Amino acid sequence: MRAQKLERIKIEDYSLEILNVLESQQTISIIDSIGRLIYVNDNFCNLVEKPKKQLIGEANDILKSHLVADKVYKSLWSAINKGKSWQGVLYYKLNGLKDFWLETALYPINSNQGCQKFLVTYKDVTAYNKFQNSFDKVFSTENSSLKNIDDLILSVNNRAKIIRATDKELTRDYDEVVGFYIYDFIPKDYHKAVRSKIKEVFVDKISNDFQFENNPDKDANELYVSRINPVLDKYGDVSYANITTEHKTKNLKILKQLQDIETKYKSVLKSCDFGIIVITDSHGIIKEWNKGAKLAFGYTEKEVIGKSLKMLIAKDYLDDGIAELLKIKNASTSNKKGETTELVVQKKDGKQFPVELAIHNWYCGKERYFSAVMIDVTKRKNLEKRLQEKSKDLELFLYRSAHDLKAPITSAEGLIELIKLENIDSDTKQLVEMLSTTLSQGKLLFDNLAFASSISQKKGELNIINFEKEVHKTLESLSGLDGYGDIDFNVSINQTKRFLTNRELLCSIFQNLIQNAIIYSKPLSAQFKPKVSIDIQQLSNKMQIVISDNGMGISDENKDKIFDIYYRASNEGKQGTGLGLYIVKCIVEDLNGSISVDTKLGSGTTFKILVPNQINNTK
Amino acid sequence: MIVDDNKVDLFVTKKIIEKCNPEIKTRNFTSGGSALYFLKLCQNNGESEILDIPDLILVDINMPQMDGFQFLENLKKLKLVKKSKVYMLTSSLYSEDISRATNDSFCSGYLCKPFTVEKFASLLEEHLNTKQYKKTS
Repeated sequence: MRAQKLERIKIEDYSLEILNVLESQQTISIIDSIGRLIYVNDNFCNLVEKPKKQLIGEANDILKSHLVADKVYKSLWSAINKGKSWQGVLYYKLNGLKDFWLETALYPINSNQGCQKFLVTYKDVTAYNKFQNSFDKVFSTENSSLKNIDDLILSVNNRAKIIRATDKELTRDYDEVVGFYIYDFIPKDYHKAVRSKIKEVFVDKISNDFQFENNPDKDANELYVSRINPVLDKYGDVSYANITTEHKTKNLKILKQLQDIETKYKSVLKSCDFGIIVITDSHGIIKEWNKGAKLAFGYTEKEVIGKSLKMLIAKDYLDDGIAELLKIKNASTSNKKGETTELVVQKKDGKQFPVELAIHNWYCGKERYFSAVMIDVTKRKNLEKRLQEKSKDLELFLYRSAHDLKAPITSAEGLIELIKLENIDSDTKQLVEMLSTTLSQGKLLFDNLAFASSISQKKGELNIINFEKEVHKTLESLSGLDGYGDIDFNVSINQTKRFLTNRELLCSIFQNLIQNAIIYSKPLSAQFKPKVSIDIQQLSNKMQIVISDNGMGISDENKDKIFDIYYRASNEGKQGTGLGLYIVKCIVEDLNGSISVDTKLGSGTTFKILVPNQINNTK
Repeated sequence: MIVDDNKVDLFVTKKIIEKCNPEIKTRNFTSGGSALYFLKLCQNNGESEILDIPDLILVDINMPQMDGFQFLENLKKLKLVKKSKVYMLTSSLYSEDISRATNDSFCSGYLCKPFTVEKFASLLEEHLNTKQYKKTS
């Protein structure tokens, strides 16, 4: 058998048939040299889902995608321009639901008109391509991932998902990127920062910026600065945000620093809602207004910028407020340090509230600016006021209680007086004496309590003090105490200036300390002479009072307790209410003085007190 | 005349005065109002033996309704023909009370409770020195 002879054919004989097969099986179009469709077959119509009529004469969208890396398109178009063939994979998005990856081949064909045309065939490789390559790969081949982002306005939702993309002239939509996240365009290191920025924009409804470098590792040669602008819906909520990106290549270092500074400034000043920050020029015209100020005063930035700071000061305090501010302004000319003051300010709705205010100033060019940082102290003021009222109430309550509790004791004392006048036997007399002592103890306690609770009330009254006189008066009043006569008093007083304080309180200090020195003295014997020395020295603006004895002293463990209320050293027949030193401490504290004690068990105690002269306070 | 809302104190004061000098007549009132009423009666009845304006008035400061100072003010308004010596008798140690009592020219002095024979004796002495002693209510 002879093998069938290999048939040689001329392709021209079959050209029509081949063409028909190709035509029916392949997706084919013919374009002119600028990409307009001049022929499409049915398959092509099916692919783009448009009738022939609509396609002929229009640009071939498939060849126009901006999403695919530039390289691909550049090479495609360069081939078209040069009249050469080209092969590659193109991305084509038909609509929101359908997109294709098309293996595209471009063949120049010459016709007798002489004008260059191209036969373009397409093969749908979407399934393969989707499996093989994630979109990311297409976007992020080498440096190309960001090639496009700076050309686009990207609208994103609060999760940074792109819901719309247009070019900067708003002439064209780029649906290809819809559904992606902004993060797909940004190096991973920046994602966290960008996420927080976008979140801020959606919460604060204020524009924000972020920046990133394409190659953070290398020396910065590219910097992208993106601005996020919120777009509000009719309810005033942020419905989405537009992100525009600028690609900077010059002065990157400076830009970056500026950006840093601005970011810091913005987050510290603008969006800080804790403190109220207002910046004015030297005429008190408001230049900056932060979020805290808006929250506190109720004015928006628009309403206050360019207006005088006066509008914020409460009407009733306007003159005082301005005077105070001017004082600070003038004082701060010489002095870089910030000044603080308190001020009553007024909200938009007329409500007034107190603030604590710190003012700083600086020069920018030749203009001087002032920044006022305010903290709303309404709560603190109220608390202070309430606390003051409460403690005053408490003091009064204690005072009145102590005082009123004394009344029945006094009555009882009166009855005892009567009993004493009756004819009673010596046993009863003894009992009556004891009862009398007990009652007078109780009365002393109540008196001390009433006194202790009235210290802060009394300190306001000032008297001129002659220390010499007061000390001797005190000693005289104590002369009835047991053991007084045995003690060697050594008084030295050096007063050179007029001294003002509350006499009653000062005397109470002397009374209590000298009384203690006497009560807790050691008994007189042949070898021992109890001594109490009272030494008062004039210091520049205070008096130093030192009262020391060589008595029993206080053990170290009890030293800390002696000023405690109701603390008593011992019950060894010594009378005391446990209030004496507590009262002394309260008085010294209320007079803004100080007290210290130096003591050694068995060898004596020294109290050193400094009492300020209040003569300056009365001027 | 003794004005004190506390009946025990009233009793004590009265007893002390009696102990000191049994001849002294006392009239006791538990409120400033009733004491003033009595004084008005005295004023209107002139020389009546029973309704004689007292020489000495001891008044407690801390009383309900009308305190010692209010009593003092009302007493001033009465413009009694005979001027009684008024002493504040109280356990109050309020410094304001003391200074108010001592600064009021209408008030002769301030006595701290408990009332004692000694206190009253010195009071009488003082009283006798300035004026012929007749009666103390």
